[in-house]
Amino acid sequence: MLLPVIMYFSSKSNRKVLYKRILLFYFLYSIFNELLNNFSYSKYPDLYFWNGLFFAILKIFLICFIFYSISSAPLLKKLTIIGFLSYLSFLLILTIFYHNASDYNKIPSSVQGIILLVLSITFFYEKMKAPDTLFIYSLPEFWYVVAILIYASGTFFIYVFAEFWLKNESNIDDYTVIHSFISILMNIIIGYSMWKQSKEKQLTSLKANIA
Amino acid sequence: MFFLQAQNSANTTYVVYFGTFGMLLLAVSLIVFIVFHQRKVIYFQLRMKKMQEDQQQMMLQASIQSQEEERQRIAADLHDDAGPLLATVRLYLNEGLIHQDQGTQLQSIYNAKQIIDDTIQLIRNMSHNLIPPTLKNFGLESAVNDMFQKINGSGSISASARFHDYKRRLKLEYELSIFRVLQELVNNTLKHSHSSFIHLTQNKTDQYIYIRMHHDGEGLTQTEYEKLRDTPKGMGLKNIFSRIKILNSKILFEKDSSNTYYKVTIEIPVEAML
Repeated sequence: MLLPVIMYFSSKSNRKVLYKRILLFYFLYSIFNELLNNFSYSKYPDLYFWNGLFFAILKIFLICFIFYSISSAPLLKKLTIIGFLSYLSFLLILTIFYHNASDYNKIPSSVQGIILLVLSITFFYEKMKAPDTLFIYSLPEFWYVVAILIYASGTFFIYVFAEFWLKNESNIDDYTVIHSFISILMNIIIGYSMWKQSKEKQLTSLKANIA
Repeated sequence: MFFLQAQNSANTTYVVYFGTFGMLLLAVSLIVFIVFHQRKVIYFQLRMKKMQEDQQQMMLQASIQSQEEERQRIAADLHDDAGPLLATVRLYLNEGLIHQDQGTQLQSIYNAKQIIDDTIQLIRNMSHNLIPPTLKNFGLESAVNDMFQKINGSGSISASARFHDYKRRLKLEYELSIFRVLQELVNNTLKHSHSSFIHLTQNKTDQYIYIRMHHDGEGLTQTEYEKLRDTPKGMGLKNIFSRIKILNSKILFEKDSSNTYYKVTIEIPVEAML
């Protein structure tokens, strides 16, 4: 999680981009969240639950907000709002009627995965429909969406099967391996997207100097 | 989801591993497909843009060439017709004329006057060729009728026109361009179609004015017109295309369903009216 943070500070130009500032906040909060989870997991189950719930809401809000800020098409903007509101409603219903301290990051995470998959595919669909650049992979936001797509698709099955699968404690290691691998992959790609912009700026300034 | 979680399966681990791997594979395939597809679309768009630019270049060349031809024709008319006539007048009215007897003087002046009249007529004809006075003063309907009257005078083909709703005239620049297009179409019909008649009609709807020309000879369909227009030879068709494009209008070449005659329809937006 530190990689995107380091990459963010590698270039001053990142500070001018709104969604990158949001990403920085997200990663900093994720680090804090991990520490808090480790602290509260066995000692304070209620704190663990409510912190998890809050983080789930914050996470989907920030991701939807980033999608909203990078999208130029009205369809994607609408879908981000709809996605966020549906997730919130789903979470509310689940919390009120099926309150269970072990469930917050499993079933809602699957729903979150579906929302992220839909948003990512819509982003690509909009880019295909109205292409505005020859090399789509030269856009930092392309890599951000790639990271989200890979994360959402990679973690989809482990979240769907989590409750059933994790009943057997020997599977927890497998779960951790897959989840960690996908998370690291996502962080590397997001780190690359942070670095991408700073590199582009350097190239532009180099070209200007040559000219 | 709940259904899946409720399944009792010993091979869940395999399902999760394969499922995750499959989802990742799908995601990567989707990304690769998008990258390649997007590049393909952009290349296609660039190619289309290049083709449009080439076509515009050809139109521009055709327009310049047509202007040059017009200038050459005017220069030739002035040089070959007006020049010798005026030179002859100068010969009649030379310095030696005052030493001639009165009868010869009168004869020379009369001859010079005749030649000057011819020159005036010649220059008037040239001017009429540039902008037909009938078109300027009385509009497209009269100019077309005038043109058809001259064609009928030759006796080889029958030409007629009927304007159904032309109380409000088109703007002058539109009338002139449409007249030039019609002249080119009639010329092509006379040269290539071997038809026995040409009939032109004009109609109007709320949005468009339609000018339609029929003939019973050999003609062009839209595909043939577009094909010929893009060849270096089709100068007249290029001019038609560029004039119609400038007027924000449309032209359609088609064969009648009865296969007995060809028709060309020009669709002009009603905003072009005065």
